[in-house]
Amino acid sequence: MIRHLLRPLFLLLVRLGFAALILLLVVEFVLRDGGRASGWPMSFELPLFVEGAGKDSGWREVRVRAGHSGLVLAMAFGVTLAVGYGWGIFAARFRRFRLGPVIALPFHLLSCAPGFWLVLLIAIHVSFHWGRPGFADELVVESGPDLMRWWNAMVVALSIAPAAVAWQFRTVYETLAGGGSGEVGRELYLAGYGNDEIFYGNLLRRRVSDLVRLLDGTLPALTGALVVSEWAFRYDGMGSLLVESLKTGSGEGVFLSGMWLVLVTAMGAALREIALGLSTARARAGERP
Amino acid sequence: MVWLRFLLYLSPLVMGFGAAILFREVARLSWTPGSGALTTSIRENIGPLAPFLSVEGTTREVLDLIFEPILLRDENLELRPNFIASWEEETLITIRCEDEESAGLVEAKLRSGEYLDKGMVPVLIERFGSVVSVALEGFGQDFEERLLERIDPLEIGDYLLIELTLKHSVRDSLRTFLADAVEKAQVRMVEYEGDQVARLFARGETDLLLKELELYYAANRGLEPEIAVRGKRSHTSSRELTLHLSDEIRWHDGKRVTGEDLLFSLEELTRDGSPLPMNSSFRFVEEAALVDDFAVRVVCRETPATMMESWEKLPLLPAHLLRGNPDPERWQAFSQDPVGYGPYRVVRRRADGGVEMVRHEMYHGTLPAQERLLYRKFDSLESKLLALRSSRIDALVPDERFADWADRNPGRVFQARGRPRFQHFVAWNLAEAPFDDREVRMALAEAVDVKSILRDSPTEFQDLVGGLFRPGTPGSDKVMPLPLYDPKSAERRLERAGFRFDSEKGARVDSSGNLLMFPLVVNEANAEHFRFARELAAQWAAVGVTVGIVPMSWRDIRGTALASREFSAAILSWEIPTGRDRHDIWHSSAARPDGGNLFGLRDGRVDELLEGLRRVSKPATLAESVDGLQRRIAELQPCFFLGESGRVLWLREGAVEVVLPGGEEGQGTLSAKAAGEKLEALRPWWVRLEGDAADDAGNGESEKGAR
Repeated sequence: MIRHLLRPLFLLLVRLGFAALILLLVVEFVLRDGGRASGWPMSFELPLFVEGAGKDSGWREVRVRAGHSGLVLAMAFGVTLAVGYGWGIFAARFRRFRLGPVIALPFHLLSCAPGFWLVLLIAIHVSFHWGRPGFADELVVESGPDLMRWWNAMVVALSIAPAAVAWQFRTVYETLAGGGSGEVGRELYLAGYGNDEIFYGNLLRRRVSDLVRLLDGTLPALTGALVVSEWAFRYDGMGSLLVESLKTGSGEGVFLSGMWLVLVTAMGAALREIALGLSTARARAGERP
Repeated sequence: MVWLRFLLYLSPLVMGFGAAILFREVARLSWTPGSGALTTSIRENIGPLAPFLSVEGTTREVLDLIFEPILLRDENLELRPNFIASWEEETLITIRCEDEESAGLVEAKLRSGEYLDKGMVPVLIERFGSVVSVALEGFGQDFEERLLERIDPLEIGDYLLIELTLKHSVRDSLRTFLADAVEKAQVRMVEYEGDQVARLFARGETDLLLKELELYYAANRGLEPEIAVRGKRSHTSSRELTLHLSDEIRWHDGKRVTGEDLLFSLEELTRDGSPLPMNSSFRFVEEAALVDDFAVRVVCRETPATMMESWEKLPLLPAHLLRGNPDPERWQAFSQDPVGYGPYRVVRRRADGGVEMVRHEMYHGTLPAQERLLYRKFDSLESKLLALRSSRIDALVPDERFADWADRNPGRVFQARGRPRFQHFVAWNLAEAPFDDREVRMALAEAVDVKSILRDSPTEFQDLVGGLFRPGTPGSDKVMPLPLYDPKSAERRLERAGFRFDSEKGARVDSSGNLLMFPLVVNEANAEHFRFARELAAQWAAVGVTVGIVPMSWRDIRGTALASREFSAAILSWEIPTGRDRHDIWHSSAARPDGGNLFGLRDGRVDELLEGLRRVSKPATLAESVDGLQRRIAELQPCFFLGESGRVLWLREGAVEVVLPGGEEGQGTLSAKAAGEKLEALRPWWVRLEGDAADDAGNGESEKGAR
């Protein structure tokens, strides 16, 4: 059991170290001029955030931005898992009604439209119907719960989620509905099993490991899309920090935002490996007489 | 496990439902009620709002709306009453006469005017026994001598003046001595000067008194006593300033502004470790006490003509909020939630870094016509343009993108330059080589083409330095004759100063072959100072002078480099004060480590002119002193003046007009454009034009522009 926990954590550290090395090389060799202009690598400080405000405010800024991006990712990833697994399993359960393509269609359509189209539509809607600008940094809530924070995060999350949802849904559905599952189901049906028992008690249980393998499949795409969407929405997150840092040639910003994105995906991978290890161990234990 | 399946299948719907609720709630959110408020779009957060802090930009604008100086300046820069409604200057002379009969005679002759010389206007004449007191209007420097010359010497008492100087606590110490002294009856009058000097007027057997005094202080060596017999004298005098305060002024929280607040502010801001050290400005104050709630009497140690300028500079703080609170954080808390007595008060700070302000309904002057002010952020250009189009922005602090847009779309916004407010200069440490040599300083000044360095930004204009004084000060109309750009002359001066050009090194060297180089200290947080430094280094390099730019934090510059004079050259800025007193900046006495004379300038002629500026009040003489000082400073070059800068205000076309205080309806109004460079100073009187009025104003101004 401990092996299943320690191995992914060790791999997480290796991945982070490897990513840090690559980022340092990128910063040193690709952003060399920008790095030198800001005094790096002689001093590894954060002058990019607030001019003259010192190191503390730089770190505070990173913490705040990480929180903002974390909320967006939680929303986008939550929706991806909920729709992907929930409705993917639902569509596979009722595959004979051919629900899969119907449910996937809107997500596929939305995923074809680039995120900034959605940004533009929301900005137009907010301007003409609500009479105020629609970008993420315009309105502050002066009293009551800070709904704008949730709204801003939700808009960014919605712009990056459709493609991830579509992929997650399709892979979950195909894992359960394809790959000879129909024949297995037919045999079991002929053997006298009920539909629920065949699907939940047999097919789903057999494919748990395959489903767990899909758990973090969308995370790299989500974090990548976050970079573009946050910047397009003027949302103060780690993605926009990466873009701003690249624009200003700030090695510190590139390194920190890059490491944050790597950390998120690496933690997703580690969680998947832990879950996979645990589910495999449980399956083996179940096979023993 | 059916429930688990339902939960799994329905979870996306629950999320969608949550998103729909959020959408509905957010759609209901509206702008902070801003209807009717004069709205300014800001770029930076409004900083701490305390009158003792040095701030600039929009924070300064807000600060000036909350706090007013206790004396105002009119258009001619003359001081006008505000909280200090009037002031009286009195010279109080107390004469001890030979006996009661002589005193009666002196009193009668004083009342009849026989003893009063030209220019002596008595305010009060009193007699107690053999002592006659006369209070004369004004601070005549020689009143005592002139008065005593006219009094018959036979009527004046025969006293010996003994001067006692102690390290401190002279009053307490002398009182203790007199309580037990055997010969105390000989002491007839005592006059104190500050906390260190006491003058004793003795009569009779003064030898015994002196012996007793010497014996007493021989046992108190810790006080470093000095006893000196000054000869015969029978009078004491003091100069008193009585400040009569307005009883109509109220703080924003409704409490009256009283003399208590004035004394508290004086106490707080002249103590050691005060947030705005004003010790040197109030060195003339020996003692200040409350006469009643609205009158303060100040006993003056000296009487400079610029005394009232010092009062003008004193920020007034609410004693009822700040007194007796030992918490060191109180200043910070006060600056976040300030209570002033200006025409506007802060209702609250906004989460976006702005502030909301309303008119102070109990304001003592003419109430501003504009009720509400809003300072808020519009971060993106798009939102700014949208708000501009829908007339939700009246004034703004632009960024480069907005300025570009405004250039491409004329007629939407207009700019108004304020008056120059700050001067930027390179301070030389005159105690260090090579800056102790005037030729080098002149050469460095002549080597720089200042015009090529100065540049305007969307929010600030930069100009050449016109003089040391704010335009409008008598004599300041004459331009300060600063050195002109002349690199050839600069090279000749450097040669004369012993720095030849070494072609191998590509720079100038002294006779020992050492490079002519110096470190230039720059505030690391000030981007504009950095730009100045880079440009200067490049231009000085062209005449062979090597400069190393040393970025430092402001705290280090102020606390270490300037305080202990551990710098060679530093780029600094100061605000051009309204007053004429420059004693603390240029006078030799201020060249001590913690003084304001950063350069270490010691020049007799400058000192003489500065003292003259403090003394004189005639405009013609004043103009001469102002011009003389400017010429002398330009000649000595203790610092190299780079330029002066001021704010550029951006307003929406036809959005604002100025309703001048005191003007009748329709008569006291001025369009924002017509106000020109006075617009910044008239900020409290800006009024937002609504609807048709705005359109008319906009059209009218466009038409005027077209003509």
